[in-house]
Amino acid sequence: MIITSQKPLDEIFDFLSPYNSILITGCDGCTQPPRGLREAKTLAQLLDLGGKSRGKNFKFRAITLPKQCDLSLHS
Amino acid sequence: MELSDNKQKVALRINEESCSSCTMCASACPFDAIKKDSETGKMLLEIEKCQSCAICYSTCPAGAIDVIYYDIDSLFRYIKRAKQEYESDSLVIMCKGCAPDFEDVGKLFGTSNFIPLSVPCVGRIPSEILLKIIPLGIKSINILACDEDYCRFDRGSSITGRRVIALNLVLEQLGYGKDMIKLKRHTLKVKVDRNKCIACGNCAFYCPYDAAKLESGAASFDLELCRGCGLCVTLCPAFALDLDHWEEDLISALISKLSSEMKTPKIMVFRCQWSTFPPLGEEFDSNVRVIDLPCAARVDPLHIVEAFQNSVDGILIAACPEEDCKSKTGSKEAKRSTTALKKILSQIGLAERLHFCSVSPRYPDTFRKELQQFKERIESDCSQETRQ
Repeated sequence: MIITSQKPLDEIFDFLSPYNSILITGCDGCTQPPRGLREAKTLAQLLDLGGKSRGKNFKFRAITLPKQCDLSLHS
Repeated sequence: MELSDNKQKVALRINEESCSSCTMCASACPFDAIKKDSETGKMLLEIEKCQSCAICYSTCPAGAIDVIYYDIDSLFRYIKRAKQEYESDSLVIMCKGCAPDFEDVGKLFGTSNFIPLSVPCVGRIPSEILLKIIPLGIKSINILACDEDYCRFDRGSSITGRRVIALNLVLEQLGYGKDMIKLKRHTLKVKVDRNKCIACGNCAFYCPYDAAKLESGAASFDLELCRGCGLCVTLCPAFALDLDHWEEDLISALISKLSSEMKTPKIMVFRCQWSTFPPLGEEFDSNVRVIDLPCAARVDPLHIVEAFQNSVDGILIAACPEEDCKSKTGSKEAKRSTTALKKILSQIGLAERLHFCSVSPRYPDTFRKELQQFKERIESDCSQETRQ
């Protein structure tokens, strides 16, 4: 069983601070977050909201990959 | 009308002076909320069991049940007024559980211009009102009920079916022709896009009605079992599911439209349609807008965040108490997902702007009180922020 938890948003904002355009890629092959387009989009919306309150206008795009952990699909 | 039980305002009450203890109300009640007292012979209503369907009201031959919502007088006044407003002599009475969209309801009955009357379960409509409005010049009465096995109040749809047969027989003898009252049944169900499905199994795991299963690598639904609560739609990570008339995009468009109309501070309410029975012609302050949903289960965290993105200042979620939920686990799941979302929102300072409340139509004031309290708090918070 895989159990995941979301990083604190502050930590994510620290990662994002040098960037303006962010691609969020969810995974379609897992039953745990971030598992699909809905959660990728929700995260994008949350980061957009949080970014604005920090005076930052990020541009987000949310997509999903079939199975992020399967390296054979990436080659 | 003011009805109260131990000083709290309640949705309905048995009027002892008019009651003949015939027990028809007890026989009709789907929730076993009315019983005859073996000692006094009086009919007793257990308000905590009552779901405010008012099937007892429409059944009582003595008019001994007083109701807050949609009583004969207020229905008559509404239809009289609406007849002029809509310039139509065709009435459509619809259960809001199966007919949220007036345009599509019109298509079902082959009419574009009609007087709409949307109520929580058509089983609450007494035969008396249907006879009373004919002299107003109403030429056709159309009733849209949920499929019998889909009725949220168990017997509302079937009882209406029997009433329509009986009334049409009487009206035919009175010279109004055959089938003056038309009854149709309809249900709103889940829709699956198997191409988008990632076969995660969420729908099959969470569906309270065992309507979903994974078949040949994608979700498949037994639509006979689906009750249209929308829980699977909200939990589907891949947007592979949608719900008739409460489509993802449609709700998003509504959020955008309503938020652009509202004055500040903007308060948006996502409300389970069974948690509050609104008065006919319900109106709100200019900074409050309400989106009624088929169940709190359809309250989508994505839509909540979307509303905040649309400059909404406060969001209230109104759900039924868990024990009253018409979709088994809908209220519970909505509470769980709201709690989880609040934790995330707390990291961007918005947790206090989201509030979940449980309200029941059996206590008609509860929703308004919750809304008022929340509204005052948000207005005060926003006013403080402006001053800083």
